[in-house]
Amino acid sequence: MEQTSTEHSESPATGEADVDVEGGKFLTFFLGEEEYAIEILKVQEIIGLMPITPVPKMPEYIRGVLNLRGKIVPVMNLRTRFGFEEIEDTDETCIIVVQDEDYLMGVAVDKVSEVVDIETASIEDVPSVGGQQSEYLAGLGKVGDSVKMIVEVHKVLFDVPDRVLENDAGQQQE
Amino acid sequence: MSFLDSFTGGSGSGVSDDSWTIGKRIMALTLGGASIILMLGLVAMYALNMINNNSNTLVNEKLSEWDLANAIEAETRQVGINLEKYSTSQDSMHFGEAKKGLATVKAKVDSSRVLAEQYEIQEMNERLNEIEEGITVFDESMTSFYQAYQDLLNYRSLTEQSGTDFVESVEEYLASARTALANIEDDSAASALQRERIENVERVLTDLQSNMKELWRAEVSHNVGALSGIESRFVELRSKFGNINVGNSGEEQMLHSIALATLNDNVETVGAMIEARNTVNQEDSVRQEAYDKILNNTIALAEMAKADAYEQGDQTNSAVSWFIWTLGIGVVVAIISALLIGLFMGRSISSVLKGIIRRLNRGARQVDASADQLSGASQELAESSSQQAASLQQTTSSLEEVSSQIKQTDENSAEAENAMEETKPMVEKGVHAMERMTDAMEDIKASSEETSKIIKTIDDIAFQTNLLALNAAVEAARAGEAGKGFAVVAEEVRNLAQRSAEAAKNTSELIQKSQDSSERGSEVAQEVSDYLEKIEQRVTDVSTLVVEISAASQEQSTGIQQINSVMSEMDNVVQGNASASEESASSAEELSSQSAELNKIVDELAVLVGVEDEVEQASGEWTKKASEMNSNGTNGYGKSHENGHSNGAKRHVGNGSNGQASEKRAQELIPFDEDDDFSEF
Repeated sequence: MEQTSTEHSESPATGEADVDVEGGKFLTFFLGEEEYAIEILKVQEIIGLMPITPVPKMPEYIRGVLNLRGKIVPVMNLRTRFGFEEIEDTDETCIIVVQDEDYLMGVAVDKVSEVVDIETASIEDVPSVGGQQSEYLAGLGKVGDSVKMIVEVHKVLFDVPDRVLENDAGQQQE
Repeated sequence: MSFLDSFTGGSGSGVSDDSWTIGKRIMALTLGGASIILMLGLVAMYALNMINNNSNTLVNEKLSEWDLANAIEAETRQVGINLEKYSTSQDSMHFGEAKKGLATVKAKVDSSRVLAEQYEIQEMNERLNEIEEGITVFDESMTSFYQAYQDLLNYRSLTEQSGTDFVESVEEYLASARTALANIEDDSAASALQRERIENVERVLTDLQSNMKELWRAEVSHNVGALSGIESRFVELRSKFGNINVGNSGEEQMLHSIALATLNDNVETVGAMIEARNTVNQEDSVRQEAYDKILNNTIALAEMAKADAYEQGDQTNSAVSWFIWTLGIGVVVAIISALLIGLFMGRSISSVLKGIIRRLNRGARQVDASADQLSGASQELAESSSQQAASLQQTTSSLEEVSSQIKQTDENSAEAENAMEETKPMVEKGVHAMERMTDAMEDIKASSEETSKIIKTIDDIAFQTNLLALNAAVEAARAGEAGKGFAVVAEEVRNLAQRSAEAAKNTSELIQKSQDSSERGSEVAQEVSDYLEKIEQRVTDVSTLVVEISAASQEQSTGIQQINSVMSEMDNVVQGNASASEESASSAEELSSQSAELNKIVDELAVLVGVEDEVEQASGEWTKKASEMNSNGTNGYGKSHENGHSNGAKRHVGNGSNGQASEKRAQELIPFDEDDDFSEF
């Protein structure tokens, strides 16, 4: 457990070019038609849609905060973060609570799909177009005929202005 | 004549319009003549009125004016003559007459004034003003003349008296002086002186007497210049006589002084007389002037009146002659137009009469032909009447069949009525059933909605279960190897959750379908209910119709009975018709002979109006035309020809060969153009 966490903390610093995602269990979810995957060990829990309190002066992709059994957790709209078009919430809209290091972050996704095993051999590098890689993806996992885009959790969720997380960290320490 | 022809022919079409009765035409003629006479009468009245006005003016105004002016002139002259008489005879009677004459002149002038004011004659007024002024001056001067003349006469007698006195006193003195001379005959010186004295006195006396003579001559001749010379001579004589030495004798001196005093008186009276004469002469001239003024104005007035009167007379004359010409021409025009209108009206009336006779003639021929046709037609009628009777029999039997059919219809309609009555409650029941069905549909809809809510809950639970399974999988993954079994369980739970979600989804779709179906069902039920209601309405309509049909068929059957009775009546009538038509055939024969009589009458009338030839021609044409008609109608009236109209048949045989020719000639000879008629007239 510790090992994985340290590895992942290093990965953004050392460089994104190498495939540093190991195989294992992944939680997959949908944004629109596309299926994305998160390492299951970074998932703390999955909750249905709860009341989200908007917080002033936050980046656009932060929907607000929610109270998860006494913990204040910021919620990110992954569609906005990825630059997709925003849609109305549905019955299937869920919030995946992700933990990285000491930080918690709720991620609003269109639909939670399943828990799948992806072997390391089935994970491929993200193709670079014109020398630029999508920095939000860690790799592309192949399961059967489908492709699951593995999200670079640290970069996507926690490479945000400090004050978003500070607030959270402060509360965490308390 | 040609002018008249064109006149009557041209306007003939307008006036000889058939709507004008003869009475109207004659009335129009009379009215035309009367209006012309009225016009002439009006002109004559106007003329007479004008002449009357002129003569009134002449008599009342101008002649009166003239008359008055002449009277004033005559009176004025009479006044002048009287004054002259007075001045020569000194008789006051003449002066009085002159005064009276002047009053008369004044009265005349006043009446002239009235006339002038009545007719507003400006010039006459002015003249009268002048005359009045003259009369006033004349009157005044006449009075003062009279006064002055009286004075003059007085002074004349005084002068005469004083002259005589002076002569007497001088004679006395001379006698005394001669006596004294005889006494002093011895003294030659004294006697010479005395003689000289006597001679001086005698010379004075002679001078005086000659002066007196001159004085009277001058006075009689009214010579004022001579008179004033004579006066100075008298004064000279007085001073001469005064200066004569009359001697010392007291008697002689006394006598001389007496003579001197009388001479003095004489000189004074002569002066006064001359002065009076002067006054008289002045007054004379003033009076003469006024007199001339009066006369001149009067004469001018008279001339004016005379000229006006002549003018008025001339006007009247010219008006009279103008009106004589106008009336003459008017009378000539009236006579000519009366002649023209009379001629024209006579022509138009006679042309109308001719037309009427022609038409009468044609009508009579037609009546003749019609009588023939009528006779044939009557026979045909008789035949057809018997046919009618047969047809009536057939009709009666047909009617009986119809009657039985109507009875059948009546029964059928009664049955239909019953059937409709039964249908009615069934339809109502159907409507009620449909309503119940609609309610049931609504129930189904409501329960489906309930079910779909439950399904929703199930779906929700499946979702939550799925989440729980996923969370469990996450926890199992965290647990690593130890959690593997748990992960399998979690997977199974997740599968179950997904299946139940699937089942819920399917159920939901099914319920949706059943909801839609029930909605459609209720719509259909509504439609069916509407149709049933319409059917109900229609059934009511049909049942009323059926009732009506049944009533109508009953009426029909009574109607048929009536028709039956009418039929038998008709049978009688047709029998009657047959006999009547035979009677009418014999009447037609009678009509034929009557129409021949009519033809004769028309011919007589034609002779009376003078259109014999034309009528004869027209009647000839008519015969041809009638025959032609008969030949054309052979097909239609074949029977009648065969049955007994040998007359028509004969004509047909006689003239039928030249049918076409006669048609042409008919058009040529029957005068459609009215102008032709007039040209022969």
